[in-house]
Amino acid sequence: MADENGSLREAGAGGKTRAQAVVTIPSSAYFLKQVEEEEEVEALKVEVAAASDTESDTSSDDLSCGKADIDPSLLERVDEEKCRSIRKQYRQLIYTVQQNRDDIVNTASDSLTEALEEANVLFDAVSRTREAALDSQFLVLASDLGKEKAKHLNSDMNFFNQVAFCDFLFIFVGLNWMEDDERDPLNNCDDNIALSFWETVQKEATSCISQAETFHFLFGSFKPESAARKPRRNHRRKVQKMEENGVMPTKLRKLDLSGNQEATEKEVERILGLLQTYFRKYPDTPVSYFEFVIDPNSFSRTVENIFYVSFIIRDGFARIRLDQDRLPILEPININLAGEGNDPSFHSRKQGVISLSLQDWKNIVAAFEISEAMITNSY
Amino acid sequence: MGAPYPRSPRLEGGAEPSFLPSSSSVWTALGRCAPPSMQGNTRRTGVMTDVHRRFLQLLMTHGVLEECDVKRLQKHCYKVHDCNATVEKLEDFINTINSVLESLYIEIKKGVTEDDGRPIYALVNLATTSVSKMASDFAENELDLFRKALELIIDSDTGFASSTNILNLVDQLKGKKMRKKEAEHVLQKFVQNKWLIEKEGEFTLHGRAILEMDQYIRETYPDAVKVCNICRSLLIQGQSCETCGIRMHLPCVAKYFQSSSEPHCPHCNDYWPHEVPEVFDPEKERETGMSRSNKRPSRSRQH
Repeated sequence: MADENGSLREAGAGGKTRAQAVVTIPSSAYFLKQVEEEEEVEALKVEVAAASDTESDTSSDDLSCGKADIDPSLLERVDEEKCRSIRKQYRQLIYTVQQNRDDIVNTASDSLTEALEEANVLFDAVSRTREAALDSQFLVLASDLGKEKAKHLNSDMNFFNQVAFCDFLFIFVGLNWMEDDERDPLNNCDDNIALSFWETVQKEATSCISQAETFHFLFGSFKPESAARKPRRNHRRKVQKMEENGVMPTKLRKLDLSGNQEATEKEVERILGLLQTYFRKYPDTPVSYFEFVIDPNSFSRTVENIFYVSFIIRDGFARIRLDQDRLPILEPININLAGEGNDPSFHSRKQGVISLSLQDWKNIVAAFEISEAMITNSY
Repeated sequence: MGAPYPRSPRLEGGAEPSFLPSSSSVWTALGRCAPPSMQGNTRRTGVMTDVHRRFLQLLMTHGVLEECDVKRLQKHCYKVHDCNATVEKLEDFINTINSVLESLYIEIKKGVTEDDGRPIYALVNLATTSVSKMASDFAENELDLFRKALELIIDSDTGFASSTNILNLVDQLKGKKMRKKEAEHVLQKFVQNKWLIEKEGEFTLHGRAILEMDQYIRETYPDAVKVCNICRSLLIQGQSCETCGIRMHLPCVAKYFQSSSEPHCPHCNDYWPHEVPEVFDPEKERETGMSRSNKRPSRSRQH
């Protein structure tokens, strides 16, 4: 608005000076000039109005409010100069782009984008269909060039099929079962599969890429630690017993269940040793079976002892028979005597089953007055 | 100018002078034979060639190697590049490389394994810089695990820390929380990369770690560190006298008591109660053809 006033004043001033300079202008000429001034003013006014209208139009575009009715000022006479200049600029732009067609398509420059931006700026001033038609002509040209540029890119990509490469990669690693999945196969990939994938790829890749190993070190990777160490106790021990370290194992290993067999053998041997010591100490006195096996403190130990003694008898190191009171006794068998006259008895082995219940065990302990076990523990 | 006077040559950074006068070469130039005392003292640093570079790269890949392998590697490098050149003496060869690496605070150090007495060569890092803090192979919690294991090893009497004790400290680690199973993997990774040795469920430091962490251990644990009575260097595994408490490396014991039938403690003269191991003889090793990986240590661990 300020501009308008200024221009009006100028026009008025210009008119006045003109009127003053030429005094002898006939009234008709002066009238014409006046009309010109008015036209000028009018043109300026309309131009300003048009500008403001286009502004409001664009603003209405931005706000997207429904102002569908066209401003009547747009249908009036527009400044021809301006339109001509816009048309000229459009034609120039189209000409430039057509001339540099090869350049734009073949190089990776931004010239097409710049031309488009220029057209955008020009379009802001457009108010008539004639200029708009030129703008659309330029757009058609620009989009043609854009399509050619895109085709240029694609022509290289045709030689490398990404999907096929991915399939081959999976087959190479051995993960071809994943192709059947409809879902995205990477979703159900757990760490191990991913790790093995990369390891396989690495093995292939390192044979193609020659690379020197990097420097591996440990010192220098620590951040400086605050020296808040408590003074170390003087650990000088003259005698270091292994038992003092406690029973905690130094390394956790899986439990060796097959070792039970060895334990049985060891136990049998141990008990055999005890039996033979007894026989050596008291020669020619067979020991009462019950007194030998029964542990008055533990029923389960008793059963174990019976189990081990049965092995001893089976292997022929001792013999069980009934004495005059019809109580079972254990007798030693000397290995040397085994070959002499004992062969018939050796071959005719008898089998027996000893059953012992908790009550029986208690009764025997009471009847025989067994106070302590003959078979002592090893631990 | 006057005649060139003998001086020990100095190299700066990666500079490769075309001619380095060293005292023994000057003596030979003058046509006299150099006095034997001089020959050993001067550090002859030669020119760094592709042979040296290939050797350095190979050593960098392995990290630590035994002397026999190192010699074989040197011959291989010579064969690849320069068939006709005479193979330089190993000590001079390594000194050449070390002089170039000096400015980077990296060095090829020579050491001796604590259980066998085998000589080893390791490429070690000597300084803590901003680069070295970032360029580590291990994560923060893994490094902390190593530090805790190191502390346990130093504090222990035998030089071994049991895996259970190390794993019990996993909860106190800095950085991301580590599960016990992961910690086992990390310890195995350390063993594979030759930072720790595992024997019957117990861990101790590999010779490589001892060479690299020597300075760090002396600085961080000045009261707990044990020193060998004979060679005065850091001791992790070794034998100790029960009366006076001095300690000696197993190879040091072997060398010291080599010829005596009745070993006595050098400090208190008490009878030395432990079994004296054999001195390591590389010739015998080659004859029997036993490789290091197959051989199991025959001596029991003594403290």
